Amino acid sequence: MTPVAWKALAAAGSVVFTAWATAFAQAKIGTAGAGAIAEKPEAAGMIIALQALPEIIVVLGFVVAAMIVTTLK
Amino acid sequence: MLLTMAKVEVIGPKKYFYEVVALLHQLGNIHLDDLSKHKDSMLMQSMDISDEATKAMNDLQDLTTRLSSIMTTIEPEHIDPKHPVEENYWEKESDELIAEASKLVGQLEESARSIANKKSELELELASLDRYREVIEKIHPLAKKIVTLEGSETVAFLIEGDYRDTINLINKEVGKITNDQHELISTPIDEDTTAAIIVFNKKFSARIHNFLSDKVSEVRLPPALRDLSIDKVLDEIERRQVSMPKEIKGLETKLTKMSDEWYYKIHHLSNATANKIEEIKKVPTMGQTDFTFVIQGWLPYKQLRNTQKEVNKHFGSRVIIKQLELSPHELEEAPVVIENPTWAKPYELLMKVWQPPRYGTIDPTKFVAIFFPFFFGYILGDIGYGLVVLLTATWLKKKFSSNNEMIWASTTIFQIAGVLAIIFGIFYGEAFGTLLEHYVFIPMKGGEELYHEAPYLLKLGSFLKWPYHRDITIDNRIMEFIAITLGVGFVHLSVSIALGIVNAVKEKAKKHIVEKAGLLIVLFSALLIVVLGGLTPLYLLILVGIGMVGYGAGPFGAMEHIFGLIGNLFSYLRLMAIGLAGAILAGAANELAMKFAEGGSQVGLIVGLALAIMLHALNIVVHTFSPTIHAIRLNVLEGFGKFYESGGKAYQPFKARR
Repeated sequence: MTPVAWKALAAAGSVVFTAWATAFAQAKIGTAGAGAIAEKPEAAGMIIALQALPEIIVVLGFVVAAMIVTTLK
Repeated sequence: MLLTMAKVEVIGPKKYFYEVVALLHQLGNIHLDDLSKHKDSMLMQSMDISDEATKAMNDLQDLTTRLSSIMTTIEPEHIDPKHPVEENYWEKESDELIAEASKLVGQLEESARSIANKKSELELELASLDRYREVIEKIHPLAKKIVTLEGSETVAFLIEGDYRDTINLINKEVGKITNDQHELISTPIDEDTTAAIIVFNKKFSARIHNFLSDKVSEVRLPPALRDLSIDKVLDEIERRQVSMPKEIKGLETKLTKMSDEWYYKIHHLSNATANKIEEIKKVPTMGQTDFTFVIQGWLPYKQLRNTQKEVNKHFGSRVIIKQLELSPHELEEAPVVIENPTWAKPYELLMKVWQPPRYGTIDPTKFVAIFFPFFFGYILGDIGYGLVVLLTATWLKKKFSSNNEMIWASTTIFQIAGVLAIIFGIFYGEAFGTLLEHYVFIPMKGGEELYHEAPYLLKLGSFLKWPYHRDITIDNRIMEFIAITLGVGFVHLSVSIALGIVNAVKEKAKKHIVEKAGLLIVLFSALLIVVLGGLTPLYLLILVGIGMVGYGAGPFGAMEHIFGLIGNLFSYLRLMAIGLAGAILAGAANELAMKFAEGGSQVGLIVGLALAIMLHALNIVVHTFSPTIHAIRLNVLEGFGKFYESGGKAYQPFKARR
């Protein structure tokens, strides 16, 4: 494989795995959050914020991917 | 801003108790303290609801329900919420209100109900006449073939196509009942339906109806038409279809007249009875000694003088309302009133999702009002998308916001956010993604090649460049953009920690002051290391900062806070990443559309344009929702986490309905 292909693969891996991890975490938080809101509607604001919490994983995955593609020579 | 609150005590002779409660209810600014929970005084006891008051409350409840029912019956098309109250009902005693409400109910309930019932019966019948007419018209030709004798009865029914053969069976069974003294005629009236008529002696009526009711759908006419022959039924239906709308109109006129005359009187009286019920229900939360009543509660300090004046005006020196001296511990019990200037007011809506801040701490509404639109604009950053958000919010505001505070606040938030997205769009040089680049910047630079060599229209030094393209293919752009975004995060975090220090000072929490100051020192030292390089004094400063955090939060707390701070800072990268993803998608939508239009054919152009509109619409929806959530999240988790002291009690004034 050429170095460019390796770079592309690494960038793709960075996004794919972090996106999967985010989805996994959000699924868990979403399920628990829906239950919590049903019991305690006033917790809705906090649950929405918590639901957005794991997105940092894919955000950083995306940043790393962008750095791999644009900066690694 | 949280308003300064005053705790007041109202004391007076017991004979004025209900009058004072009614006045406070009308003034509507005291958040009542439940004295039944404060059993620390030997002299004061909880006020009891007397048997008389309980009876009055039951009567008032019954009357309120009946008044509401009359109001529903005679409700006008447009209700004027500011209709002036003609009488001072609130000054009346329960007995007077009961007498007045009973008189009004007696006068209006029966007539309003009977007119409304008659009207709905007529409307129902009128609506069903069309259906009867359709059916009767179908069986009419069949009825002509039948000779009816005196003492005979006619029954018509319809049978669906699939069950047509059952007519013979029905004929046989009816024959058994009538000893074959009947006549049954049937004919298909359309593809799916067969109509049938049976004529028989009235003495078999019950048995035949009983038999048919299980088997077929009998054509049952309303009582007024039941005894008429089928010929006459059609005439009667026609006559009623002309006369009934007039009758209904007449009844409507009666109800409107009744509404004009009575609606607002009943409305105000019903409010007065409901208010009186609420006043009686609140009685156990108030206190009493042998001869006096005691009411305690909270109100904004700026309303104290006016309230005292009002009480004095009504009761003179017989009833006293005085401000209580409170310890800091007692002040923690104060309910919270949030009041902000117009520019920050809409953001109080976002704050309603969380528990109010504790009394005496900082109200974060202004903080959110500054950073929420900034983050939104930073992420969305597109002139076209910003305009769509701004115009949509403005349209929604004009259409739906009258009398709805929530819609007013949310649309205003998005108007401001839209403006910020436009401003950042100008900074990034983006309008619907790359359109500005394709149709303005490249032609201005004299071609694509020249543009890519130097993609800026303005450049001062190596930092000030415009437009600042969110294009990761530009050399070093991604690292630059990361640095700028972390800088934004640094400012947000620093302000949050500084507010945390202010809160700690207000609460006189020394350890918290040291802890927050330590965090701020760590943050600034780290920044200086990045900017100036690793100088030894700066590393020492970081160690001092860590030590201070450790003093405030303990060793494990310090680890949690320092690592948390690093995590928080990197969390702001979402501002860049989500915005970048949106910009890339917008650019892709344009590229795809341009590929279709490249050939120059009209069909390609139309398909390309439709595709671009569709993809941009999708992108706008996704990239309006996403910045909203993330801007809230950054404020709440990264920002509030450093200073927000929740646990405040919402201010719920004892306020009468009007």
